[in-house]
Amino acid sequence: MYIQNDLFRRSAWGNFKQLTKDVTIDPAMLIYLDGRLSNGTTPNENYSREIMELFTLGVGNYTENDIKQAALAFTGWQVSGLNATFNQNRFANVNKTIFGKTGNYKYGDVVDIILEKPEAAEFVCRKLYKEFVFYKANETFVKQMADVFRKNNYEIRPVLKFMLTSDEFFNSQYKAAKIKNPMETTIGILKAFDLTTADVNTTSDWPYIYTQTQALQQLLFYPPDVQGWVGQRDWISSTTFVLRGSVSDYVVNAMGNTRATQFKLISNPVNYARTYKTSEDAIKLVDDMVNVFLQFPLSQTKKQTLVNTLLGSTILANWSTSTPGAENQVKALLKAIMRLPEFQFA
Amino acid sequence: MPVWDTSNAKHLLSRCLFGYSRKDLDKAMSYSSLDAFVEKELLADRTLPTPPGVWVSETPIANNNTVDNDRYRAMTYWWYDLCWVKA
Repeated sequence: MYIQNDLFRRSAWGNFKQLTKDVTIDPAMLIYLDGRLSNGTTPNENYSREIMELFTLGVGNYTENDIKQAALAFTGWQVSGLNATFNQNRFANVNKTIFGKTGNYKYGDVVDIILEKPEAAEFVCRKLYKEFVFYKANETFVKQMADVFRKNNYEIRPVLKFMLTSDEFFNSQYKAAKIKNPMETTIGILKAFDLTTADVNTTSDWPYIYTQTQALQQLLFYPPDVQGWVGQRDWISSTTFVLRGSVSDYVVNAMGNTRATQFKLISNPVNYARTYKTSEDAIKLVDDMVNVFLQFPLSQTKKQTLVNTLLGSTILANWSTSTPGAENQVKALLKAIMRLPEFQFA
Repeated sequence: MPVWDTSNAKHLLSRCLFGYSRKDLDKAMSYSSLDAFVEKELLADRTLPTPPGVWVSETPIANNNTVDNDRYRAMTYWWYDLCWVKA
């Protein structure tokens, strides 16, 4: 799996055709989708089906026969140790007919043939759109992305740049309209508290994040199935919503707690509040903290509730981070901010 | 070209990073335009990270659960570390 992750990191801004070819004979993929078990006599269709259905084209853009024929072209590859090896004796050394084209194709030829189909560029761009912009695709914009993608011969960086600098991406309707996944939620909390990797203890803090994100339904490198995590509303259930709140409470409880077993290097609450220029003005401090923790615009009523949470039994005019009990009031505020439904959005 | 203001910068960072810090936001805003930030920072070439251990090039052994679990953890923690934008 390290090798596969390394491939993704190397290829993220490279060429999608090349990446698709490389992942086809990536050892982890050969194991996961049974390519290593496939041969010319008994071809296994798992990878052939998923590359078309889930990775490049989508249902309706291929036939069962295309899958069977492509499966033949993918044969011959096995895994030896950490390497993919080609065994000519297991390869279906015959003509295959895929999307109306005939030849003695190998895996790379099939990828080229698939990606020549106009549906492929749109399918891949729709995935990018749904991940980065909004979970329901704007098909007009997806077509524009696909056009950029094809004109750049499936280079990934230009289409990302097109998407990330477009008016569409910054449309106010899409802001704070994505539900954060467990990694964005947990790592995001640490970053909002200005913790860096240097402040994180690998033997105590990372196991905590590991256990919590597992409970929140995201174990890295272990997607639930070949389709990957569904995302968006799927992250939130009556169980995980409550758990998300208890994770943020847990991190806040470590603030200023000398007996905390995790996040020992997090600021104490008063020091953290004082990193905001507005720390001595309750209303402005709430505003500024809300701006750091939330993407979703908060109603005036909710802001007022947060101000009241910060003040506790103090009146507005008397608020100061030096008053006794300020520690607990700041912690109460931080917990309340991250307990808001609005906190779930990116 | 969309304007490069705090609202747009927050949106971009929250979608492209795994959370962000106030420093990350300040750094993004230090660029003169969205285009400049995306080109010179977000989509800039990066050096590949050091692997999580020398074991990445060792042949896996079957039925080796404890070692596999340790390596899986090590790789997961390595991934967490990489969520931070290196200065």
